[in-house]
Amino acid sequence: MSAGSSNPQTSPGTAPNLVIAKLQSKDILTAHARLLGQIRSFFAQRQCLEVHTPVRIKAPAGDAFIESFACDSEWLRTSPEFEMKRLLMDGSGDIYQIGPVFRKSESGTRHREEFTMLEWYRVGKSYQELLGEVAELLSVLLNEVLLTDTDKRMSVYRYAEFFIKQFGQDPFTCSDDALQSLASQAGLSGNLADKSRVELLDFLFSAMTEASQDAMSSHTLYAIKDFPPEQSSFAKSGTYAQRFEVFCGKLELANGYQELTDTKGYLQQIEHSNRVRTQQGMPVLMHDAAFVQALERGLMPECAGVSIGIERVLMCALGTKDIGQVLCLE
Amino acid sequence: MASYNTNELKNGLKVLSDGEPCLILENEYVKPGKGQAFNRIKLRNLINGRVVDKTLKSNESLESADIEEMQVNFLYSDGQEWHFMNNDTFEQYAVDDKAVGDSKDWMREQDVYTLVLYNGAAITLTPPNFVELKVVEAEAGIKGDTATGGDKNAVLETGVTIRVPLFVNQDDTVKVDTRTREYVSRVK
Repeated sequence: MSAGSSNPQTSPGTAPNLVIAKLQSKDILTAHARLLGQIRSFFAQRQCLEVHTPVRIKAPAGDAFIESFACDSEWLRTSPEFEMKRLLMDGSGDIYQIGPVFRKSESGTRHREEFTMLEWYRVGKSYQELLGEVAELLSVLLNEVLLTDTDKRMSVYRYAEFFIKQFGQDPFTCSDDALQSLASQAGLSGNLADKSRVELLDFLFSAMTEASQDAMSSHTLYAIKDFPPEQSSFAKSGTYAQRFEVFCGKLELANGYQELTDTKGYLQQIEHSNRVRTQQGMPVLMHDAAFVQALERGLMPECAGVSIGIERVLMCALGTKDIGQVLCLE
Repeated sequence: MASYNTNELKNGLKVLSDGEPCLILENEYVKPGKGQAFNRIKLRNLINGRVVDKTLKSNESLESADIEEMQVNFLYSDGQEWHFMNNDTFEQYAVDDKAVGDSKDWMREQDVYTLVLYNGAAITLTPPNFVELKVVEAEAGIKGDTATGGDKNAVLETGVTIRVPLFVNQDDTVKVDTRTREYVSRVK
């Protein structure tokens, strides 16, 4: 499959020089349609139901570093997470969703403010088991680029292990000074003494997934799991957060959790996010009242969930570094 | 001085980084799904020419650098400094040997060069991409030797020696690419 975006279609009867501006080549449309078909077929064979939840919602997801677009008195979703969890609490069983999500100010060669998310939940499964399923799905979707069995077999690293391999220090136990020093060496500018441990870890994570051996090949699939507890987001956490992220080379493809099931944990996470947001000068977010009500009834099943950026998968499949090249229309 | 936010740092902008004036070559926005956004920036230090990679937290800022670029005429050299004049302002600039650097090899009176000033002081001088210079000395080319397409040394009027094709003779004018220091063609 070629990644070319520079041969736009002209329809018969138009002047030969008339270009339909920015229309992607048929290759991209075909690859995109095929990918969606493969995803649906994958889940149909595995007893997982496709659902659709509102794109315009009452309460944005509550992340420290994700901004929502306001839409009149409501918001455009940054992820279908909480609506899908309400379905789970209603007894839906395993569900998946493919649809648009919106994140303000996220724009660059790998980012667009609107992109397509595939998100699914497995009731009664652990996040490690879900990671296995992610590997299976990606080996189908990326079959043509993951040519060898070695490529197809996804390496799984624990966060600490990966960090130590890259930087020689244990991120869970090393001092703030040590992190500052590592960050400075890795090229982080600005007054490092001002930066919190989480900020430094964020930067170093970004640096290590950019520069590691696995990052070097554009078709090496690998996962990092068991994050520092400060970075748990809505995953269960103790000495480490039960989270994983999946990469293909330098591209982040997926984010998965052992989902929080208790109200206290959820509210603590909202509070934590809001503290960070206040520090950054960002407005605080209200918790999702309908979600909390349902949570309080103790109906949230033990489950693991994951979200995958479809455009990112297409970028891997088509071998391009630029997200603009895989969009059906820009 | 003005400062630029990370999302305002377009290629070609001149900013201060670690106190030195730099040119923005690349600015890439990167954000992990659940983490903070960063901008990975590639900069060329305008004083030493080195390319540096830096990462900034998104929404941090860099100060703009007082960089002025102008076209100047070479007037003369007094052995220590090289003197130029801006033909629009008639202002004269004395540039030291270090800032002139390799441009010496292409220096000819009344030719036009690009001068870069930082806080009003000259930091680099660049010749035009192509110059036409007279050959003052060339080894005799072996007549009829066209099969090998070889080359030989020639000294140009500025004192620099370059490789030229065998058919180039003394008093010929040649066009040279100053970036590669290579012969391009014979003129006239």
